[in-house]
Amino acid sequence: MQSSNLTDEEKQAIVEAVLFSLPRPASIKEIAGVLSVDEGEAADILNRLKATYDRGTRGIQIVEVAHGFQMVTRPCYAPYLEKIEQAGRTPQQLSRAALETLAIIAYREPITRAEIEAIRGVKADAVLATLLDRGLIRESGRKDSVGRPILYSTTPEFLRYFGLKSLDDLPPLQHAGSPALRGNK
Amino acid sequence: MRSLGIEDRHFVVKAGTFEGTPGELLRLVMQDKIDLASIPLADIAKQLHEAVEAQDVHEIDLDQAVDQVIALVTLIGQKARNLLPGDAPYDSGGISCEAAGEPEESSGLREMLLERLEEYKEYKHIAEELRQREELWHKVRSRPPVPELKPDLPSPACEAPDTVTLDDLLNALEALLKSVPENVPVPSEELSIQERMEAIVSRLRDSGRLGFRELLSGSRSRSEIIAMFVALLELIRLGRVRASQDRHFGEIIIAIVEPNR
Repeated sequence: MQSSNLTDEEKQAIVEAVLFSLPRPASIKEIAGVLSVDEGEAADILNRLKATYDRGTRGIQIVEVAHGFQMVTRPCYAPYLEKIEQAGRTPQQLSRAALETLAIIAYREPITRAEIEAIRGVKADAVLATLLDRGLIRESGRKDSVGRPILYSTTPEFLRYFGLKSLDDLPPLQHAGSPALRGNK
Repeated sequence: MRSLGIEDRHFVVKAGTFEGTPGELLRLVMQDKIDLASIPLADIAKQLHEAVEAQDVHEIDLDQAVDQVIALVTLIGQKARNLLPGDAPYDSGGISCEAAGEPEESSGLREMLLERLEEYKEYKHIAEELRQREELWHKVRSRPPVPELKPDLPSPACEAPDTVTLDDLLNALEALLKSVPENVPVPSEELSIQERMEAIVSRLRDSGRLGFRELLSGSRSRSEIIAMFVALLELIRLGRVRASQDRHFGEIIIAIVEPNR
């Protein structure tokens, strides 16, 4: 890594500009690349910048979501934003069936439709179509079994939608289906 | 008296001393607090059917209704299995709702069923948590993703996801008209819609794409703006130009659609 002549303040300002301009979370790796510093330093700068936003009353905050950092508004100001936004901007809430299906996929991914149906006890095709359509899950391959059924996994959009840093942010299951299957993405 | 949580009172059934939803009945059976053999399930099924029928089609909580039907079906399956010879006997107290999956000496069908139910219950619990997160994160705004602007793409204006509706265009027109004084002398030069269309196309050829405002505000009067707007609509209809918007409240961008590219 080339050492840079930027002051600490300048580095924070650069990161601030990057986070402001990006329409998606920026990973520590990307920030490190922008600043030409190692990832440890990038994380340090990010966290210090984040802290400056957390001091005092700011409308914007920096959150850690979907394996990266993103600049977002604070939820408590939503009622004010709604006054100026076009109606229907907020996406429709997911149905309970969709949420349950997502929960199963998040812990068991990659998983086939039949496996989901075995757990929920009902057909899953319509729900899966909705989730695919909203970009919360994706087809992640085919299982090596009879019929080579399609496997489903969650997407980065899933993490972003629920404000999760990663799948490990989900609470551990107490019962069957240990989240051991995670992390092989 | 049990605390009923989110169970819906619309699905209450009665059998002997029990009064509650099939879901509650299933829970009590699983905890061995009620002997399944003593419950007339056909009657419960009838009651549930009536309860569902009695509700307004538009107001019924389908999630709840489905849950109750699943609970009932599980009960029926369980009762049928209990009647079969050779299945593991009821071992009371072995399994509670909280700590299932602990000791399993006689892992019969009942255990399997219980385990599946327990697992499903956990996912339901996670789904609740996801619901709360969803609610919170719906209150959070971030820079919306910018769709790639492809002015060259000869796709009809009504298909692309970032496409602008007629309403959007009319709103933009209205906003533009508001900024124009009402009584401006009529321009001396009257152009036909056809000529205006050509003028728009040639301007777009030069610059590739232009903002809606920029394109129309060259016009000096309201009637001229409206004439330009009509010409623009015609071009969009013909697929010669394309209107898009890269974000909410973003300016409407008019881009030329070049044929054969």
